[in-house]
Amino acid sequence: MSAPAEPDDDVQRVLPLGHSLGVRDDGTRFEVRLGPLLHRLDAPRFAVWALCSGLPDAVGPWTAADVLARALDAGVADAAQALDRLRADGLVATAAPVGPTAHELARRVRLMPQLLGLGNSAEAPHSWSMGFPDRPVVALDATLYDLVCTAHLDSSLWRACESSSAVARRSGVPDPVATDPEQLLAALLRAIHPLLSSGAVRLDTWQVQP
Amino acid sequence: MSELLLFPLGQYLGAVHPGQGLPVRHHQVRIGSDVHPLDDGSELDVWALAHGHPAVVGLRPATRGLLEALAAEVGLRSAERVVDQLLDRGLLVQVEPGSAAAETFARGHRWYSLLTGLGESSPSRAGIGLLGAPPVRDLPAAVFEYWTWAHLFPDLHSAAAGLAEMAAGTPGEPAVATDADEVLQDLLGSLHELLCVNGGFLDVAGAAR
Repeated sequence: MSAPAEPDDDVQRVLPLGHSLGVRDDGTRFEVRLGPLLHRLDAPRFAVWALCSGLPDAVGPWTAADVLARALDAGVADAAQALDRLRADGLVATAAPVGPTAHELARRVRLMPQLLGLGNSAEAPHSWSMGFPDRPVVALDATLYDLVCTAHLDSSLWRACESSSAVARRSGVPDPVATDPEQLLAALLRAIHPLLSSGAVRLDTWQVQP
Repeated sequence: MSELLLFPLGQYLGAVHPGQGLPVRHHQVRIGSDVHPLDDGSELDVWALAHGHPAVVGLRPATRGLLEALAAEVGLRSAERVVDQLLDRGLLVQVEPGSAAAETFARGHRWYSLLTGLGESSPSRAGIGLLGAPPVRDLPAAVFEYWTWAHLFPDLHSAAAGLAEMAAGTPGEPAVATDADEVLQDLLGSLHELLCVNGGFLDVAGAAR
């Protein structure tokens, strides 16, 4: 089943890949680990990589143009060049929620939770949050919560969507977004930037094979 | 002989409220492919305490005795009985670093790291937390290396071997030991530095789908 399109579903989102390890060498270098490889970035490239996660005040799809505009506002030097190099190094990808770019991305990356799943609350039982025990950071619906909290058990984002939708089908969940992996992937990619910018998830690649 | 350390196993998946205005039914902890319910009282409290208190971790070994002392301080009754129950259910485990049983544990369990690296706070320490916020924990350099790399390996034993190999290939004075047994012992002795701030969790090995 193909996912029903929503406005902007053909817009290519910009996405950071890798795990930030932070600053090194007295603030002059930043490290990002992607799979088993360590990338050392200068300040402009790290700023652009971090901007690819989106910003809390952003509305609508987060694109490469948004990253370059915000980088210009922030006075980041040579942001376009930095973005090109990040793409060449595999630290930035682009994908639209529906179509071949979504599939290509989902088959080559893993989705890793970085915050605890905190569950829901009596006040808002349909809202599931991630964060710290005493401090929710971001809220999701039940379908994306189930996917995000266990996606690291699968070897790719696509397999995670397949696993999560299979569980939902077995459980008799009536929502096709939960039971169809393509619709689930599209829903995730539409909603991913608040999850990335809050630090709730990252996109990564493979673990080390001994 | 070193002391038996007490570890919580599993990934916290949060509270489950069955509907609007209804109290929590239970909390969920995933270990491998199983999701275990914990009641909202002493079971969750004891399992959470087993992660260690940030103010105490590093000063005293994270033993059962320490947990029960902390439980008594916060007025948590029957901690001893609950610890027994959670040990029986596989939600807690005791391990003596350096022992043969520790090696078996390390081959059967793995680590997942949470949070983001914030980098060096001094030449010998580095922070983890969320970008743009103060660190939730400032870690010794070796523990930061464990946090960075151990989750990429399918179990703790291979993580220790891999970290030792990486250290052996690092020029200068590496933060991590170059002997795999030594790394494993230190890794197990350091995990509460991460557990106490939810910088990661222990899981059974081989559960990845």
